[in-house]
Amino acid sequence: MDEVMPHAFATVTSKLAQSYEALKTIEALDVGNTPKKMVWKKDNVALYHYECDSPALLKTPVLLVYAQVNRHDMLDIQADRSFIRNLQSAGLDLYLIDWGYPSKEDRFNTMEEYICGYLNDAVDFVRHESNQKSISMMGVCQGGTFSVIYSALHIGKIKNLITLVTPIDFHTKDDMLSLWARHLDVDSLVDSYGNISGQLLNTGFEMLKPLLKTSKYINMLSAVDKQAQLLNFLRMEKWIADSPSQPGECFRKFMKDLYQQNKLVKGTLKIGARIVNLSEITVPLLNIYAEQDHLVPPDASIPLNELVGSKDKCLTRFEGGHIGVFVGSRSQKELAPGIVSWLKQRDTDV
Amino acid sequence: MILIVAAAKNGYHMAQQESVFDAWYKTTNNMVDGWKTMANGWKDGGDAGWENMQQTQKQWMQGYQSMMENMTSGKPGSTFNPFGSDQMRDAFSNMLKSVDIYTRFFELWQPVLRQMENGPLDHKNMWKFIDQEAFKSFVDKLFGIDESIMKGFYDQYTKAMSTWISTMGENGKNFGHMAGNGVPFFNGMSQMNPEGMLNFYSSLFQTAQKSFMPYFGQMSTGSAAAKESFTKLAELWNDYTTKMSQMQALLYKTSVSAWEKVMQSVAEKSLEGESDKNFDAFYNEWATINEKEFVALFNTEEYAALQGELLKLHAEMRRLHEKQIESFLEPYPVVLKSQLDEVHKTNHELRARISELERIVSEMLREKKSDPE
Repeated sequence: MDEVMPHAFATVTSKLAQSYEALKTIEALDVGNTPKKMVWKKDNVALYHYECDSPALLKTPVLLVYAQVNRHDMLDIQADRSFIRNLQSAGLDLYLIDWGYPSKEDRFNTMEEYICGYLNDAVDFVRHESNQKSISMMGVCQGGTFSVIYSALHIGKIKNLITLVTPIDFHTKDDMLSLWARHLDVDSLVDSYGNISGQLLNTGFEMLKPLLKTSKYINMLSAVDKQAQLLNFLRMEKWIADSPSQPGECFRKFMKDLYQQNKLVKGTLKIGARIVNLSEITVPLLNIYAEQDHLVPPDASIPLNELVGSKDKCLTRFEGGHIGVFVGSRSQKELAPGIVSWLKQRDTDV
Repeated sequence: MILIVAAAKNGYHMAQQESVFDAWYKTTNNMVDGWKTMANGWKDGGDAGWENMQQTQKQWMQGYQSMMENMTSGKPGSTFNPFGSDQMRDAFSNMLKSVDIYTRFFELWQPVLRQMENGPLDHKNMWKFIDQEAFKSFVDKLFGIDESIMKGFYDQYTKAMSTWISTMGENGKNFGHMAGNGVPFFNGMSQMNPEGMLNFYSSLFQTAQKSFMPYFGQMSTGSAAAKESFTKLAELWNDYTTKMSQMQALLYKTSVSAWEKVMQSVAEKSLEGESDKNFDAFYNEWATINEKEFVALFNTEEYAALQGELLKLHAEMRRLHEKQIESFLEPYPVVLKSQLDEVHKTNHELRARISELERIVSEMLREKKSDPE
């Protein structure tokens, strides 16, 4: 090996110089490009409707609820790797709630306000616009947890519930985030910082795979002359870096009640004056988890199907990690069509 | 005329910018060509050639990093930031950091791998060939243990204290001198020498006590409360540095164990005649083993508890620090952060009430629509 070492070393340095040349010529990249229109806004929260030339094939609209951690643009990272476009082209009428970037006033927003306030208002708007009594809700990660809580509290407004890589049981084995969260003095963090910075969270996520960042940039150097691959990589990096703060009070409750005390599974979570009882969810449920998810391990998602009162419920395993489920090549062919097919079978008037 | 002058200036900047980066680009390519030539005649080149190459690379990297520091302060397209957007600058900065780590890794392992050419090397004996100081610095770099948190805190602390001191007259001079001397120390904080930090802390605190204690009772900026706050902050800092050094010890210990495992694997492969084909393959094997070891560490109660304590201490230090700043600013006609927080809280409450009223109105309108009578 020794003889080729200087070559490898020289190659890396040379590629670094090439990357400089390549990056210099690229302007800022856009993500989340599928055409959409803002149809409702309150404070920093907005509701978008994805525009489509042809009418939707399913009459029940779908409201996408992404996490407050990072931005929903991951679902629409680029034209040929877009979960949103795939859903839309398969015939869905899509809405998306955008939690925005919390302001200093939003530091006081509670989980109750997000779920029973903003989210409920958005649901009412979509119901009214589509002239439907109930709509389908599709929650991703923390957005999935919000969707589950919402569905348990607002029976009648939700027709179908889809959860993707959603944490429900926060105390499972091998959930490193959960272990770390249980040792956090959440009150101290929120009282000191107010909103919790996205940078702090991203540092935590990076530590889950501590060598990944260095290795992926080193490996990327080998593909710096492959334009498409480089642009894919840069779009993902843009998405990772675009990390909004977490609204303080909502973060406090999410961490204490869910990550630390696992109240959702125990049936003791209170939203306002009401207890969230998952068995009250009786609508059809499609629960999708990622086999190699290191952020929300499969064991954290799977128990939902046992806890809900629904008779019509599906549990689907998908190959890939937390993000790969949405941006991987297999996902483009299978995930969205699978979901739409499931919804189509339940797009009835009942 | 003004336009012409501006254009000329821009032209000048562009030329200057191009010359800086083109020079770098040319140097890099020349250096790489040199390495390749040397690699081709590697067997004749011997150690001297290798050391020269490393030295050149090191200098090149240092120059490059200082360029990156300038870039981060420049706007896109400006003299020191030739990228079209901050995103591309950041991407390049990340590539640079990764190459820096890769290069350090390369430097650290190279003597071991060369030694192995002379025969099998025991994984315990490999440390004889690894620069221990560089190893520690490598681990620090890998985990971003640098001045970002510590220096940020101390910079603010020093600034606040310096301002405070300037109002204190002669008795504050000792402390001012001490705090001033602290600045180079803060810059060297990336080394995270616990002993050095504790010595500094103890000296800082003793000087502070000597200089300030007689005044705490007379200060208009908080008196007893300020004294308590200052003492508490110093205690927190002590705890923080102690815990931070514990955290670092865990990281170093895990690194040592991981590196020995890598060595073991390399030695075993070598005996079986299956060594890694190239340096990248070796790096990937190292990364895989290290990642596994660190994930195992991070998944322990001990690590999680320590991390939680560090975050808590940092948060508390920040809160106390803000309190001190406020007590200093209290006599002046400025809006304090705590007052602004109250305003935000009130705004939030009003906003929530408006939302509730809007919902009631919407509901009433809906009911009226469905039942016109």
